[in-house]
Amino acid sequence: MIENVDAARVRDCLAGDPQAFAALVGQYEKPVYNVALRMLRNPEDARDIAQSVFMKAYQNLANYDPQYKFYSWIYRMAINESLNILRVRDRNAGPVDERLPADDAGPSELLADDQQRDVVLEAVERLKPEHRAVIVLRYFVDRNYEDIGEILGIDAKTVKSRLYTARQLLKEQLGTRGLL
Amino acid sequence: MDKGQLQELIQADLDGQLSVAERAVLARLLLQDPEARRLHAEFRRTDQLLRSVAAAEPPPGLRADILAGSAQSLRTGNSAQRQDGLPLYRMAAVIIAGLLIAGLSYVLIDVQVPGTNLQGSLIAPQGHLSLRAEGAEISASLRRDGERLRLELNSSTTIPCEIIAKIDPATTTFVGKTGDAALTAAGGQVTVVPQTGSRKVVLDFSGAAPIQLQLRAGGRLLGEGSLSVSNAR
Repeated sequence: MIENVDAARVRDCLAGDPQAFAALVGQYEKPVYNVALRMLRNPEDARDIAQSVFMKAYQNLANYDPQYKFYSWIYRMAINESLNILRVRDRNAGPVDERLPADDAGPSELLADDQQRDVVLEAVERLKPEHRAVIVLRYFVDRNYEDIGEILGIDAKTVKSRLYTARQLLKEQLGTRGLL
Repeated sequence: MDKGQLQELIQADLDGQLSVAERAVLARLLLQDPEARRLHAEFRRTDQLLRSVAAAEPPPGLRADILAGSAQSLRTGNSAQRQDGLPLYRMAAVIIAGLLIAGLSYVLIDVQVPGTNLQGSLIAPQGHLSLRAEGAEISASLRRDGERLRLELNSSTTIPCEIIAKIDPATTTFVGKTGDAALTAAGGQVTVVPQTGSRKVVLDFSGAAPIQLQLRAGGRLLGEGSLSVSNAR
């Protein structure tokens, strides 16, 4: 089980084995980067967050509680750091209407794959942070309700409710862009 | 069955959470009701579109940077390893070394060393700081304005460079800027890219000092220092 492997690596790392931390970075570098990237849609910010998350994890490994999954701990840090940046962005840019279609919205049956992907990511970006977070964790790092709840500190019922609202909003947006 | 219940069934279907009985109910509904079929197809397509977005590869060098950072952290004593209490004699040595560094910093605080590439101050935190390297000179001052910390940066550059202000994101937040410069804010770090020539940019933060400042060009650290101001509002 991956959680047991992670817990063993954390123990080895605390015992002074640098390879154990390298193994944790190797395991989670990509998903942590993707969490931040899909939350913020900015590769530079995502890189900074990934670096910061692993540094904080390393410096606080002794405080890590092994009753929680290691990835829940670091995904939570990635989400929280992303939310901090989004708060600063929101203060500078004002709120976004989750339902408002983009300016260049229109039917687009012939969109190429990468254009289609951009439309999907733009729709995700328009979601409020709490809705975006559940979509990112569900679809881009493949977490289930229980994991998402542990990462975000909410119960599974709230996870389902947010996921439901987020999907509904995405469906409306993607429908407006002719993708459904 | 109302639309809300139908959508709950569809969502459970997408997430593989349907019981056998629920699956049968949904199948029957989809067979009988064209509106349910349309809704199911739309949610299913939304789900497929989201799943079709491939995971992005992290930028090259990220892992190396992370591991280099952790190795640096280990050297500076901020390591992952459990720290037992320091013996008294080591603690005393640390205190004496700290006092010596503080005293030396006080003496050197305004000393400018001409003719070197790296003249950023690494001395005790203060409200003013000058960083100077070939092609780039930065004068920075930090002051408190009520709840805000105001960092004024005056740059005079002939080469493209970056000024990086590092804050503790747990206690301090970047609020905004005044002045003409490209800027990114992420993870406790605000990066300003001033245009060449003489420029002035003001960064506002809410929270507490100190702020670490770095001057970089082409990925190279040209100078760094710390700015501090009383945190009393």
